[in-house]
Amino acid sequence: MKIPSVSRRRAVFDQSVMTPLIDVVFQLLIFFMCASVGHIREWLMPFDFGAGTGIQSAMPVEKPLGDVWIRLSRRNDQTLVNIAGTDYPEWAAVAAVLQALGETAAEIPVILDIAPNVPMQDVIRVDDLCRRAKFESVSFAAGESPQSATDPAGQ
Amino acid sequence: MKLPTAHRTPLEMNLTPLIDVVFLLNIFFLVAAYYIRHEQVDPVQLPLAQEGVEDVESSARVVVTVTANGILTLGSNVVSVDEAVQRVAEVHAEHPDGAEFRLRCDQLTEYSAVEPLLLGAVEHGVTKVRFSVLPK
Repeated sequence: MKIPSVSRRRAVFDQSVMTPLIDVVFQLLIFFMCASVGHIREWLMPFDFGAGTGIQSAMPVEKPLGDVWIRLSRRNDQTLVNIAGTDYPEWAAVAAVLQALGETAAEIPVILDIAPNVPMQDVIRVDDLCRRAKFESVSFAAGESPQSATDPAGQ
Repeated sequence: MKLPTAHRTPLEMNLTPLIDVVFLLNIFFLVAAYYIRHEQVDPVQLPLAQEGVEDVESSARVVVTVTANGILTLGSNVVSVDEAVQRVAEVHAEHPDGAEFRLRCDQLTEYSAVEPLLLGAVEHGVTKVRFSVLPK
């Protein structure tokens, strides 16, 4: 019986094993390239609402520092931001005021009172500015007046 | 006449074409599913934000897309506000940790289209609400 030499056996091994391996590697490469095309990485703005029906409790909770009401309204196709009774038409001014408030007392609860026709980009922008100012609690108001605000619906 | 012997060429099973075909089918279904999904779901331009957080895997998640026109889609199906809230409430009741309610709103979506969803979710005890954004 003739036994193949070492070099002959190595040649057979290379031919029979390496080709499928390369095939599989290239197919996997194409697979993951196709899977990653068009995938846009999204971020999240989390809100952890307090469980409840959104009705303010009968017993008022004492808040020594009060709270900050931010009202968003729409006028002439522009969003108008009112912070604690003062209008700020420019977003830079809104950011500066919120930053100053956050540095002073970030524990003050912020309540967003949003008009129905305000676009979500501006809602998210105000929330984004509040987070950047390190406010601990941002809530959504359920109605127009301060008395109808939802109980803690904050970050 | 010289007859060929039976054991001149040993029979070998070549798996290479099989692997090729399987992976090509895999790629085909992947690409097909991608295009089908993007045809059915209305595209939304998500709001931009700087303080967003990374996506965290949740055991129970309901994703509702709100287009600029206020149309709600849940899993490529157009739904009403009540149907979306009902779905969130069902998932929330099925999972002890509670459901995550994820809202994918367009930048131009008015708050009036989102507020009923928030109120309905809170009324059913859903506490985890997430707005999808794109990093600015």
